Amino acid sequence: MNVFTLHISILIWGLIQSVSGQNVADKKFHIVGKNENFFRISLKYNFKQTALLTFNPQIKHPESIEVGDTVWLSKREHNPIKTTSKQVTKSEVLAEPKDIQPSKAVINTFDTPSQHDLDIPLFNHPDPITNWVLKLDAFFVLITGITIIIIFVSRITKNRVAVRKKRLIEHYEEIISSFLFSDENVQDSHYLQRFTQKSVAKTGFQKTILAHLLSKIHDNFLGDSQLLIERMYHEHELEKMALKNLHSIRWSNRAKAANISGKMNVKEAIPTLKVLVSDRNRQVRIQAIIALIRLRNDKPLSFLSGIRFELTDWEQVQILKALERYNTNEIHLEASHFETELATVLGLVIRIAIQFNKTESSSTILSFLRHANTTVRMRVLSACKSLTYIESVDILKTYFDEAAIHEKIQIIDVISVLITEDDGFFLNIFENEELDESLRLAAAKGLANVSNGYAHMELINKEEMSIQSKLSKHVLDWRL
Amino acid sequence: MSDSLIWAYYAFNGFIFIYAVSVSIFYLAHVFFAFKGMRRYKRRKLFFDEQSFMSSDFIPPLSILAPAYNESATVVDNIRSLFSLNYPNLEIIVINDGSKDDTLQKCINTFQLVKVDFAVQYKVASNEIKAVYKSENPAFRRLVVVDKVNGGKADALNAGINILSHEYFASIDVDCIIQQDAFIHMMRPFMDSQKRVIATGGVVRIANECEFLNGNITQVRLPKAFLPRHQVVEYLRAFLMGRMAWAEINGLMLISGAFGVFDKAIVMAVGGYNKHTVGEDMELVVRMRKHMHQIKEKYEVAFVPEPLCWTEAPMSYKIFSRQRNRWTRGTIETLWTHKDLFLNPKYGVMGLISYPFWFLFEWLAPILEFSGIFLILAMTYFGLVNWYYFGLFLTLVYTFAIFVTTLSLAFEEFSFPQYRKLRYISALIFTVLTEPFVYHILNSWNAIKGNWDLWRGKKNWGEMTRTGFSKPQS
Amino acid sequence: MSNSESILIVEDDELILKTLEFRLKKENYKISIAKNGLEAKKILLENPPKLMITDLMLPFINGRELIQIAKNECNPPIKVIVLSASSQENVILDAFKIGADDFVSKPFSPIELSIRVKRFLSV
Repeated sequence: MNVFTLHISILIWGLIQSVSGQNVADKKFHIVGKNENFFRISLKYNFKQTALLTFNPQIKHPESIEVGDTVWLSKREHNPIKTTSKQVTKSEVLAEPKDIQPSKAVINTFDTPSQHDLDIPLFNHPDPITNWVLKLDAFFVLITGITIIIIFVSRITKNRVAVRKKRLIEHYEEIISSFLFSDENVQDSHYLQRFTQKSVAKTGFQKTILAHLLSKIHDNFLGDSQLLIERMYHEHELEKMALKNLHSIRWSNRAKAANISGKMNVKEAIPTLKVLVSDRNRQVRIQAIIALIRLRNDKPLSFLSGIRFELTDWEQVQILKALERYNTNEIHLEASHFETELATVLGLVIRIAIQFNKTESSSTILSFLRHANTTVRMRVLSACKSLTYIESVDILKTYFDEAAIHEKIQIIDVISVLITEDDGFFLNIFENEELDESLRLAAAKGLANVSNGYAHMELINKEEMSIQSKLSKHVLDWRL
Repeated sequence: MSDSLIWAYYAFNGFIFIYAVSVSIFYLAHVFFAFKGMRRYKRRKLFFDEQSFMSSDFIPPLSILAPAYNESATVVDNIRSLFSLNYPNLEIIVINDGSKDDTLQKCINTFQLVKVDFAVQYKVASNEIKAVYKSENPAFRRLVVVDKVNGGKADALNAGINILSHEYFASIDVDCIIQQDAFIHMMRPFMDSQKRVIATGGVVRIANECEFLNGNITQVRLPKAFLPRHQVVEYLRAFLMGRMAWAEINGLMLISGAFGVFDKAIVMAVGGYNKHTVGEDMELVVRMRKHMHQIKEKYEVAFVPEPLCWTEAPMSYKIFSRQRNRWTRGTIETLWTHKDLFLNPKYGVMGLISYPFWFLFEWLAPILEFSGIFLILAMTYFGLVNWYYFGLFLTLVYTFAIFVTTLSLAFEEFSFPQYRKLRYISALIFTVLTEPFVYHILNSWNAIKGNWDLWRGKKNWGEMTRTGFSKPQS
Repeated sequence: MSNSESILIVEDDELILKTLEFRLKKENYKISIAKNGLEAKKILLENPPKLMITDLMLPFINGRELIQIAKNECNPPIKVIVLSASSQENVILDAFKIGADDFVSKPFSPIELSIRVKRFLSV
């Protein structure tokens, strides 16, 4: 939970910068103070000692300076009187400041060119560092100030809208719930007209809220009530909003509009949705596909041939959900045609098989395993694993004997995930010494994975099968 | 001789300059990437269909691991609140880590637990599991209580991993308050990513002074006390900006132990939590990521910016200081254990960006900062400080600090705002303005103390691990 | 057949709660509503209804516990219909094991639900 703190370490930079004294150019001389020597002065103003000595021909030996001495910090050009004096006496030191008006020099550490003073004097500082720092300061303060104002404005408006929104939602909820379950004939168009009259939705704000509520409640119902909600939606001409948003520049708007037009049965959206199926944004593509399935535009699985990318689990779940609107047999019949190269959608096809026809899904999977190419076969196996499709254990065992050796290893792996207790499957393979070493090894690992396999660890150790025991033991070992 | 000293000055100067500039650039980059990530998350949420999530047969089941140590006062309420979580298939595993009080007995009485036979395989190392309890009451069928020999939080989690039955597990602090549909959102990255997601982290928010009822939050309030209020700001910045940005470039190295979901297979493959460190949460993620690079599989560590988990922040300085101390030690231990990551291109973003960032700006920064303060003191003594420049740069540092923190407040406002009253906003802004003066210094001081303790503790390392830390805060 | 039997609806989604309330009121049932587990528990103990329609995931006290209260602590035991978003087999079996009398998964047909209610209350 470490926190990324705002380190003031940048501060050090400021400090060290300050001692290294980029400001030399502006101060003209230094009066030696207590505890100071020539080296320290050179350090303070960032000069090499030799350079400092050339400015101060009066100083013969760096060690010889005393408190109150003047050390010049630049070559003096118009200073004829002092250059000759080799030793500066104490009284002269006192006199000297008067000579070059040090009080003014200190105040005007930076001699600003007067003509620039008129515009922003703050940023026309002759010292470039001061200049930059002040500019950055101003920038940060400005942005901070603007951000604070924006936060406040947004908060105030949101709080205001929240009150309105809450009232509006309550109002709509009341009306929707009363109309939804009335005993009157819902097919009657007057009925819907009354609904429209009662629930006024003129402004965009009202329409958005109503559309949101309708789509939310739509998910919870089946059959006639769902149809009624769709009709309420159309009665208010809310679909116009969605149709407009289908062309929005923002991908999220397009995706949302696709989603809602699928849900609310907006048939007018079909042509646009067909274009959106090849949108450049993935989310939009998926939502368009789902919408088209929901709108019962074509054969239920016709979209599959159009998908050229791997579907994630969540996308598959959504598609399956949309497919629920179709007749089970219809889907299953069509799914059985997809037994070939469409590896990308395989997971989905298997899911369809499982969800829509549990009894027949085994045969679908078996036929995949028997007839498809190697990639597809491997995918079927990994799909069984990731879906934790426990019913597939029997099929896998059936298929095990005809499988190639690398598939066998895969199958053992899948089964070890799916079952929690070994029914002798692993043990038989493991104890059969005629079998390939790698197979026995996989079985040993499988044994280590199931809960009653622990009892056999001794056996594995006893047999002292070097690789096997090592590998299955390593699962148990702590390692960093 | 003196010339070379000046050169040393220049070199140090140069280093500090580059350091300071890169810190600032990193923070600006945080702002940028966090903004991008947040925007995408919010947009994708627009058409997230919870209903089909809840009703699908294909949602991966989840186990929740909640280690408890001497929690007898709150454990029952906390477990009860876990039962009202919205998730289709949930298994709740409470691990009693050898509590000295009646934590276990309270659970047994309330939830009508009975001992069950359970063939435990120690697939990841953990102390002995004494017994496994399940409820006789079908209403609590999904509850498993594990009683084990004390071994610290990491060890308790490992024991839980040995027991759990699902493919994914969430590790939570038992005293956290978790929003009802938290795991729906937390599991979504696992299902909705083109790469394999190995772990998902969530936001942790401060629950002090909020109103609760039976382990659910009913009214969000901004804490008035000094430490919690500053921690609110700090957490906002750390989670909404820090973690979000790292997740966006897939460089997230830390998922807080209080709230995260993991892929069990990967955790097991790397051997579970490491109980020899106090920073077991960060260490695990780093090890998992390393493993993924070694087996050369594309992966992702995701992050969910929604406020789903609330926790009580330390109120007293003593506990706060101990917590920070522990975090520092955990970080350093992790960084030290995995020092081979440093600028190692083999480990991608983690090796090239995340690790150096942690090393330079999380570990080194407080040290540099404090050495800076001592340097100033020393130079003041010798009369070398130019106060003009000191003041000048102080303003720069200050304005930059409030600039970044204010932006993180804006992130809160435009993502999932929780503090809705105007007076909360004003209080937050005031906190932002004053944070660098007191709170920040306390924070860095505790980091320094952590460094010191670790360095000193190295000599009696064994003893330190045995006494262990088991949730100093509570 | 007098339809003035009392029904408790427990549901945290306001809109569904309202629609159900409206629908069942039309059929002359006495309806009490609760938005979370605590409210529901209070009603169950103080003013036990004849039938309870409940979600499984509820704030404060979850549906499973409510079912237990309805079955064990109320006399006579209250009939329970579970209305849940998850339709996974084990969730359904679970609900029946705890003692639910019927299970309706969302999305649901309100007409179907009201027929089920009628069946329970006409006995």
